[in-house]
Amino acid sequence: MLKYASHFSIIISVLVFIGWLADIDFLQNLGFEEASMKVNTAICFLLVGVALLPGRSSRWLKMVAVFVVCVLSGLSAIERLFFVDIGIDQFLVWDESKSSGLMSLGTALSFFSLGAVLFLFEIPAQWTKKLGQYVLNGISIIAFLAILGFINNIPSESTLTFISSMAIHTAVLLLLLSVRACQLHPEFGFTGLLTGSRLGSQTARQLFLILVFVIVTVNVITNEMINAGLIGVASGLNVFAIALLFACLSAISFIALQLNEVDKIRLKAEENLKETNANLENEVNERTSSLKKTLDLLYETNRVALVGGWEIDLVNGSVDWTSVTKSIFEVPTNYIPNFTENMEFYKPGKSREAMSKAINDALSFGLHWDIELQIVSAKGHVKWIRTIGRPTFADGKCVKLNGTFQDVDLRKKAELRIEEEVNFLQTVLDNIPVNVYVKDLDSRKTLVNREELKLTGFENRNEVLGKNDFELYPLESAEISRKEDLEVFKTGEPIIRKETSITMEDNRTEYFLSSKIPIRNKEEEITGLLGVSVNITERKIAEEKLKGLAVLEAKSKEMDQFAYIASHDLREPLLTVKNYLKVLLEDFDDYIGDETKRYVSVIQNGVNRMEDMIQALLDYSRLGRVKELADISVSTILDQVIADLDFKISENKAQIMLNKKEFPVVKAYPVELKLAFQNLISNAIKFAREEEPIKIKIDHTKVEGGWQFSVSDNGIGIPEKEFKNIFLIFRKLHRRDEFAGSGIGLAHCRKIVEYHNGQLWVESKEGKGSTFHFTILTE
Amino acid sequence: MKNKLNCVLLVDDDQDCNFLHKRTIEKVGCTDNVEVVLDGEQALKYLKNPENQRPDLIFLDVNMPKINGWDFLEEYAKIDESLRGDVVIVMLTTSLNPDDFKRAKSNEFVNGFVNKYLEPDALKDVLKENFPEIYKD
Repeated sequence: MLKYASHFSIIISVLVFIGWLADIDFLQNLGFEEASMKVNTAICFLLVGVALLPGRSSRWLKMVAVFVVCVLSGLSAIERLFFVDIGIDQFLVWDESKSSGLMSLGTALSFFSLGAVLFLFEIPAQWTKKLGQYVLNGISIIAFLAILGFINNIPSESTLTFISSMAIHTAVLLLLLSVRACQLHPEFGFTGLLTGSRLGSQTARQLFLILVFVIVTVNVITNEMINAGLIGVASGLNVFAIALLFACLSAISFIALQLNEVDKIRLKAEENLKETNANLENEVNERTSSLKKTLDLLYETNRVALVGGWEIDLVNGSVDWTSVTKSIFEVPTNYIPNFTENMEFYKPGKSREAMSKAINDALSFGLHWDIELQIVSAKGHVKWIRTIGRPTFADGKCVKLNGTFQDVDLRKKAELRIEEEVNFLQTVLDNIPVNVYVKDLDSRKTLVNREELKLTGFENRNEVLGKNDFELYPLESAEISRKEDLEVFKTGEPIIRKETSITMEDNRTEYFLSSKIPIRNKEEEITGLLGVSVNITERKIAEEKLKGLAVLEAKSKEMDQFAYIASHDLREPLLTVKNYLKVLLEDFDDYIGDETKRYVSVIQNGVNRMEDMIQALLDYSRLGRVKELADISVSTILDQVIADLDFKISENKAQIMLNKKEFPVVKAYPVELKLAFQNLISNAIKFAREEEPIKIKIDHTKVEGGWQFSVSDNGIGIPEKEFKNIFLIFRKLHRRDEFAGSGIGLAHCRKIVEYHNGQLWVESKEGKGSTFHFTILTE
Repeated sequence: MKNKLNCVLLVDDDQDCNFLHKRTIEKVGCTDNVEVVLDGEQALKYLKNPENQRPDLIFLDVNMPKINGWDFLEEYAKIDESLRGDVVIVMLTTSLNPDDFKRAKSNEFVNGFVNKYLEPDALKDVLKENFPEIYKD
């Protein structure tokens, strides 16, 4: 209601104006003849009403209004007090019919005080508010008195002079406005007391309302009784006093009872609170002690585990270290860490760079870190620590970094040593020419050295580790290997130097002497096996070769034996036959006839042929037994051969052409090479066509690793199906009466060529001629 | 042929061979006395008997049963020098084996090497080389 006091005041003042202008008495005095609201009063109410309008708007306008109120009321008060006529009462309205237009002294003073207070409130000091409150209370009391006067119908002459002519609506409005003004600063003075929320204020409010009501009521009743003549004024005062006392006692009792009740509740509440507090305290104690235990435990753990904490407050730049952190960095316990200085603890180089990067990443990208690096402690010890850290962000800015340090020096050094040892071991294993591997119980490789890696064909160790033999080797080999592994696991007996082989996918077979040794843990349980294989492929091949050579050697010996037998034992009876035939012809020439002589001659021919064959066979068998390669001029050899064959050549009118002037110098066995040429040229002469003059061409070409030679003729040629057979020993294509020979020549030639790592082959057309090619590959 | 060898000893198990050789030697006419033994043992026995005539020339077969040519040479080295006398030993063999040839050459008592059967020309060559006073072209 008080909120609208100013609006109410404005409305009433306007109505009073209207009353004055339209000369409506009721509006001027509300029916009380004694006092009317003057025009000036109405103006003042209007202005104060405006000034007290709620809100802080138009402050200057309000101040002007207050100022006008002060001037008007001040001047009126001066007129009233000093009985001078300034003419303020005639300022707006001429109130000649009624008593003077001057506002009553009480009204004037009240307005002046009200205006002054409103000015006072503008001064920003506490005392102005307090003082203002009391002044406003005074105004309220004056207004209240005036109202009481009207209620009790006290004639204006018998009331206090300065309020005698205050109109009823003036009094009411003044009361309302003063109270309203009080509410501008309700926390001060009496208003403050009444409007507070505490128990005292509540009680005061109640008492105030009751007392006002009781006092006014008792006052009115007493007054009425006096007026009615039931009691005199003096006894009226007594009655008033007694009634008031009663009323007050009742009010006090009521309030006291209420207070007692409240106190009871309060006490109970207090007790409850105490109890709750006690419980709470217990709980807090319990929790505190458990927390303390946890903290102790944590501290102890950290101390034992050498874990220290740290925190960097990036807002104020402070750094916090726990005692363990300080002990890790070997700084005194009173050391105050500092961010820049602390960076110096990280070992220059890798460690410091890693730390800087971790912090930068945390600040820039919010990354956590968990790294192991080296520090140099305050005492100069280099040690490994593990640092964990994480940033805390607020409003997109990193405000805090915190985490832990752990002294991991022993572990790290042990790790590094193990790593070194492992590396060393790996290096050793990688550089021995033996396959080494370790397999687990599922026959999966857990370690391989370089040789073993090479065998698997993989480039990278990691491609092999974790794989079993079935994934690495052909099925057959893998099955055998797995079987062996299982046997080792089952019996616990190692396999030592067993000859094994693996046939790889490219059909290459690798031979090994493999050992598989079970690996046991501390509990003597087998956990896998160590495999050591020596690759003996080369040795194996060499052995095979040697075996072949031994066979050859043996065969060669047999051959020698055979040749010996052939040359000696076979030859002897043959020669006996031959010689006795001779003796027969010599000693019995006169006794035997011509026919007998012819027969003996045939026998002699056979014997001679056989002798030749035996000789050739002996030559053949003895080939390649001496020997050292020598640089031989083929030209020289050919010259010799042609000279040796001179008789045959001229007899057969053969023509021998060397296709090139110079023949090369080759590394060869001289006698044998000569024999080869001799055989081939002899054959060329021997197997000639009758109608054709013999032409023999000898040629040569350079080939990879040596030389190729050829001997061509224009003879009878060789059917293609015989190309291979002609090189077999004792193989003859012709009857003896057609072409004589032992049938050993080409076999001998081939053997010679083979001793020179070469090959002998033939190209031929029947009836046209043959070309024998051979290579000498001794470079 | 004015001068002749005192005695030629043939050591060969092959009688047929001996017959032919004896015939060849007699035909060439380098001695009037050709003694024949059938093996090394008999040859040694012959030599060890001082009553036997010392051979100027021995034709020794390599291949013989019991004591062969090589064995004989070993035993021959052991017997008294006086019993050996001034003899030239020629190995007779059908073997054309150069190994045998080498082996024969390296033996101090072997002065020659002739393939079986002994032809008159081969015999003449041996005489020319070892007994130039007996045989000249």
